[in-house]
Amino acid sequence: MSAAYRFTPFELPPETVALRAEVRAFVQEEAKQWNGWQIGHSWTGFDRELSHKLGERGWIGMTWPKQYGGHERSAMERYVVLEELLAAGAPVGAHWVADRQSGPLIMRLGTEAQKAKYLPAICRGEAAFCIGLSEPDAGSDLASLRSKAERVDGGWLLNGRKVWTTYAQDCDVMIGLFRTGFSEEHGKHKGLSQFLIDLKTPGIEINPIKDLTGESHFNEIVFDNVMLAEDALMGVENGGWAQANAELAFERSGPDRYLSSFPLLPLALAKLGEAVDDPSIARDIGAMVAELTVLRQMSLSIQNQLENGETPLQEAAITKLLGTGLEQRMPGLIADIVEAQPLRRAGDTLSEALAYLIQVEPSFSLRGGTNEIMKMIIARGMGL
Amino acid sequence: MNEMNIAELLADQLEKLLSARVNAESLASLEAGGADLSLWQEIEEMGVADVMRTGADAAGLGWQDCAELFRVLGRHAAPLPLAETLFARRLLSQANLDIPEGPLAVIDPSANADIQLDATGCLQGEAAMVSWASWATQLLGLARRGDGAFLFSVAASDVAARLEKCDSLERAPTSAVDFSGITPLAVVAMSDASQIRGGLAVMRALMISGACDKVVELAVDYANTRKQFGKPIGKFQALQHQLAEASCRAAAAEMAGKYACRELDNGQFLAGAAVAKYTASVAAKDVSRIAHQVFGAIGITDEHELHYFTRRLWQWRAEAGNERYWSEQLGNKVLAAGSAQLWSSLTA
Repeated sequence: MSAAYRFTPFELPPETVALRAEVRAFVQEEAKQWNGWQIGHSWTGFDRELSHKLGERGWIGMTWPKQYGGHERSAMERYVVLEELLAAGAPVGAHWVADRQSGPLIMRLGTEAQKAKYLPAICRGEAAFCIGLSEPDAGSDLASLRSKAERVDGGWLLNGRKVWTTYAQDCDVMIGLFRTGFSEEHGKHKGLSQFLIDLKTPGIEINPIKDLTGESHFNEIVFDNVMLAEDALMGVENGGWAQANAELAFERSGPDRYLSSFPLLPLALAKLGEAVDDPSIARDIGAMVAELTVLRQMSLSIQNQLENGETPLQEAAITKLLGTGLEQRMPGLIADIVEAQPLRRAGDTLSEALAYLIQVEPSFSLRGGTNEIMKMIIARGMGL
Repeated sequence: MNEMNIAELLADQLEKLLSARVNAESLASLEAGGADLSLWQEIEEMGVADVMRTGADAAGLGWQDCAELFRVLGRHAAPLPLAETLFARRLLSQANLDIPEGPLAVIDPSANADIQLDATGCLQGEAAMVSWASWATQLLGLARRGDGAFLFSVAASDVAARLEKCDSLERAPTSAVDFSGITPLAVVAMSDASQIRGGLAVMRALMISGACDKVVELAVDYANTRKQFGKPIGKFQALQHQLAEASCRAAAAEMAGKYACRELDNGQFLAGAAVAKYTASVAAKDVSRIAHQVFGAIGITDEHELHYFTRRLWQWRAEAGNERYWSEQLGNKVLAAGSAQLWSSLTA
């Protein structure tokens, strides 16, 4: 009654059934070429060809107006497409960020020219976006970022450094948050602005950072006197903090916040077979399925609120905290249950997927806001 | 007025009534053996105990409609068997049986209650723990004969001498009942024996979710007022993080309970119940642990009201199947269905 959150059950409408079958059939066919290591990447796997195919089928920018290349379908139809792709571990990283948050941001706040320039390309699966937020000295305390954009004749001059930007080396466009003004009286959250940055602009240097798996998915990006045109400003000058925050309910509540390790579970069930005489295995599997079921309901409930124009930040923080907790526990638990060795080139899909996920699961509760930040948001909402 | 409005209105009315009438004193009196039948009378006059009855000229509200009612009961640690009576009257009306006056008890078939229906039509066996048995006018349960499952009802007067009071954690009137040799008032074959177990599990899950909300609310109030080191303890991040965790557990329990209501309304008695009772039982354990940690020593005194809720959370966690029981049930079902079915059943 006085809870700081609201989770009203929401059931997917029946018209999503045929669409789900269509997506599932497509994904099953595509999945034949993915090994376990690739499946483990899920929405951080970068495959432009797959994004292009999905664009052809109308499965990117699904809810956007047709005049911008969209398909005017419902948010729930989009949800079905997302969860079918994620359940199979499809490498959707080349359009994920654009479809999830950059496109909706442009739709909401972009100028007509910006919409016309970027949205149709996103829908075709041809414009890969990344998000430039963190800096070497601004992580969880994002508002202390220092990279700056100065108003100059003919546009904006950018200087500074962004870091941990996922797939910047492969992306076309960054939406970056830069300091455009600062006044003590307004505090550090004011004076930040978002910019649409073509990553081929002169003065941008992208340095991939090798991660602990040996791959390079994130980057350091140096901006050295990068000149942008006037119309690179996204939304309101000095309104970037509120704009970036409004994206977070979308970013934190989707099925990508609890399904990152899901593909392991059907693989494990296939390996276990039906005759399992250890009740503790049944209990572990039952617990994972129960948690997945509840998280899916929470996530759907939030989608419904977003669809109704609400901004369920509390609900999104709760769902992200619980969801990433599950997807973090799954790799270790499943490895124990099936007694599988995580091996990269085992020719065994489960071992390969485990090999990747066991190494990267620590990132699940970092990306999109850390557990500690989620708890801070939740505690504030509780009145603490 | 549509059904949801009736249900919301009733939940609101019940919330007001219980807020006014239930407090540490009334709970202490119940636990000391007192029986405030005037409150029960008021509940009957509201008509709320009948809303899940089905059939002609009955309200016939479903589980989804009534989810909030059960949560309100949990939230107030309601000192009366309204949840049990709502469910029992539904079971009786679905079986076309007469509905007696007064509160009813439902025997939890998952907890040490192995009751057989013998060839002569008598019951054999006992139930180790029946909540509110001493208040009930009739007791409902599940009896087996061979492969068959039967809903039975027994007149309280027929077992009055066979109730043995037991002290449950919640200290509400609870008894062991020996049914051996008793001829039931009615016996009706059940097409799906899981209906009682699933219904009880969801009912308790919803009550746990209501009680978790209450406990979190108490803990937040306390953390905001209790000062140490010169500031409210709720300003310490270590406590904020624990309370955030408790809030997450409570939210998950609520969502799981409401999801399971939909499953019950669709005639699926076990899968949703497993999700709900597993999630709620985990929440019961974690939320009570965190709340006691926040309250410190005052929280474990008799004087403070916290224990009326945490003792019920511990009791309800164990009743109608705990988290181990339900996760095993669900896991076995998932294993038996096989890998290919997993995702389709999650998205069905």
